Amino acid sequence: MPSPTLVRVEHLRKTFGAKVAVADVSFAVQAGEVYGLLGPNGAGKTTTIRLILDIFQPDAGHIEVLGGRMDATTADRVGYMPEERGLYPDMRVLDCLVFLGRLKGLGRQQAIQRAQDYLERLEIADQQRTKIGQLSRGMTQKVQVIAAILHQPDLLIIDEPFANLDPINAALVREVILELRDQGKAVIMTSHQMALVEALCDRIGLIHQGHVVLDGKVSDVRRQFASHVVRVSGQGHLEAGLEGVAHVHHLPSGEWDLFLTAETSTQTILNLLIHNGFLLDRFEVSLPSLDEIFVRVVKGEAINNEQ
Amino acid sequence: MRRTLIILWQTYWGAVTQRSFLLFVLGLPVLAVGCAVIFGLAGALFIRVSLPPTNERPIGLVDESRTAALADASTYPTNPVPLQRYESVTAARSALQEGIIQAYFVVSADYWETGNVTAAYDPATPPSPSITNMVERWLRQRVRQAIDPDLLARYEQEPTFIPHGVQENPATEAPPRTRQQEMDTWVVFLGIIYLGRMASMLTSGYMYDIIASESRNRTMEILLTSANVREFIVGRVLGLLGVGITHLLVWGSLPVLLLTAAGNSGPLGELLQWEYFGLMISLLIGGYLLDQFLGAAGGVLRVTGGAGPQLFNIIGWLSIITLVYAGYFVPRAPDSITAVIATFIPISAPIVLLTRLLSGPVPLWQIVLAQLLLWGSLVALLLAIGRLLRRNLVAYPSRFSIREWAKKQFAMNNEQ
Repeated sequence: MPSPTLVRVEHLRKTFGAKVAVADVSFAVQAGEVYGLLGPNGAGKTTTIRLILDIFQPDAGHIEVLGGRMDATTADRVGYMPEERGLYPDMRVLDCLVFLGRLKGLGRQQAIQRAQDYLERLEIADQQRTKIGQLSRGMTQKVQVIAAILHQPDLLIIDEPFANLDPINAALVREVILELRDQGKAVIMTSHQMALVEALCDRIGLIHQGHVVLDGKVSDVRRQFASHVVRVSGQGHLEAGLEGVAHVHHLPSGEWDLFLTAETSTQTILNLLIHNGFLLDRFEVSLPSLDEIFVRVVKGEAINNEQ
Repeated sequence: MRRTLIILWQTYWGAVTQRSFLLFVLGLPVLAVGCAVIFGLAGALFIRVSLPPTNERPIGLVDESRTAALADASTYPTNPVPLQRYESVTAARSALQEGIIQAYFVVSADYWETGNVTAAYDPATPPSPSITNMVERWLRQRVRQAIDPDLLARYEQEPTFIPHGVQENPATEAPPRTRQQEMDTWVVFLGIIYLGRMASMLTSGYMYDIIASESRNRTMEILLTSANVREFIVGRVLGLLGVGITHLLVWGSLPVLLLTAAGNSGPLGELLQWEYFGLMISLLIGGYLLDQFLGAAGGVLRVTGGAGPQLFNIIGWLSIITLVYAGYFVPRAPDSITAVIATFIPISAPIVLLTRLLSGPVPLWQIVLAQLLLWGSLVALLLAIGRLLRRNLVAYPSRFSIREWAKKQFAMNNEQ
């Protein structure tokens, strides 16, 4: 039985004066899924998030959150951590968390208990009486994460959750996010750290210039871009002008990455190498990293290739 | 409602536990009283040190006016030195030369026409100012005693204007109020109105800071995913209303205590029975809300780097000018054109209209119109702030600037 869709966005459009922030964005996020919303700066990710959260009204398109329109009840089931961190610097950590938790429908005692549990878990329990303004950026960010998940939302939207975290703290936060996913919650996150996106997200959507240019499972997306790069090693001479190869990159390990033209299949290049007398030790269709895909898509290579 | 209450409490508690608030609200009265005591003591000490020591010898009095009120020896003052009567200038001069008295005062024969009193003393040892003050006080008191009591009472009481055709029953009338009582009431009423307006202006500064800070650090973005704009603004305004009331209670309790200690708590009771008490509350609350809304608008606009501080400074100065204008000029000309116009401007209406009402009758249509304009502007402002919050807080639209806005308006007018 398929998981229920918790967020559905269809043909969303939002303009600010003459500037088109979101041109045409559509995607869906299922329960029990971490969805990575990717894109270069200014692509329209944050505006899309704000449209989902009903902070802005779209000019066109349709948004469905937790099965309907965003209202007061729905808002209590959504957690949000904006990219620009927002907490009261003069408030103590625990007081601030309790205030935000109560706004999300928790009782006072319940909010205190949960806040203390999460502070313990993210290893900042000793800071609960400290004023937020006195915390380091990393600690503040962990408090921000707790504020977003304190009420155990069905939908969590987090903008750049790992930006200020060291690897140990990033792992702690990652664990919390995955736990929410395993509980059947949906998570939408944005990040420019592609390694973390790859490790954490089940599916990604890449927004570029207000359009979704890629959408799917991480493995599918990588496979989609895989057929154009082949990693080979062996004995023989590889010429730059090899037919069907746009570019050859010699790696420090002694291996070569062959970037194939759009018309060339991996089978064709394998036959060609054997035909040219190249003694192959290794022939592997290389799956590009999300980083590479991101750069290629944003620079327009993928689009051009498809054309 | 739940969210509104949570925001209300967070706003209230956050503000009243701020060190700056506690220092200002609790510290200022203590500072004022402390300064008065310190400067008073310092002044007294300075006078004591700088003036020559009071000569202990008596002073003489010669009454050439032969006024009966000055003849009663039992009324003669003794502090700081005794006053002794002499029948003639010759006798007084002899006593001075013999060193029995340090000086003598001669009340001239034409005192009632001229008020002349001659002082004679050795220029090397003039009487101290406290002695001169003693003689002056005693003379004024005796002269007052000499005036016909009915005449004096009529002088001290304001005329009672009775509307034509209305029968007054003197038997049921309250005793006429003295000028001093009228003045006490006026001062207490005006003081409370001023205190209310000042508390309101102070808390609008808090509103400005809170909104600007929440907008700048994007806390607002989180809050707006939990509460809608209406819940947010109402919670903030009511929380700050609580701050204003706390402020008023702390500051207001001081004059109440002082008046009660002085046995003059009558004006406070009169305030509660004032025919315009309800209107006063309505105007003060309206003015308070207006200040908060303007503070919120200033805070939002500050974030966009536009006219927030300019707007807030202009409004702050306008409010201060209005306070000065209402306190000094309005009581002198309560029906002037300026006062009537200021009655209809929402930002000046509360203080100007209330001062006019204290100073005399105000036509009913002016009261009604002023109220309509004040509350109407509040509704319009609330709607505008809702739009501003959504547009300017979480987006990065073109920055608002009064100059650019004025240019656009000018260009539009030219096109038309």
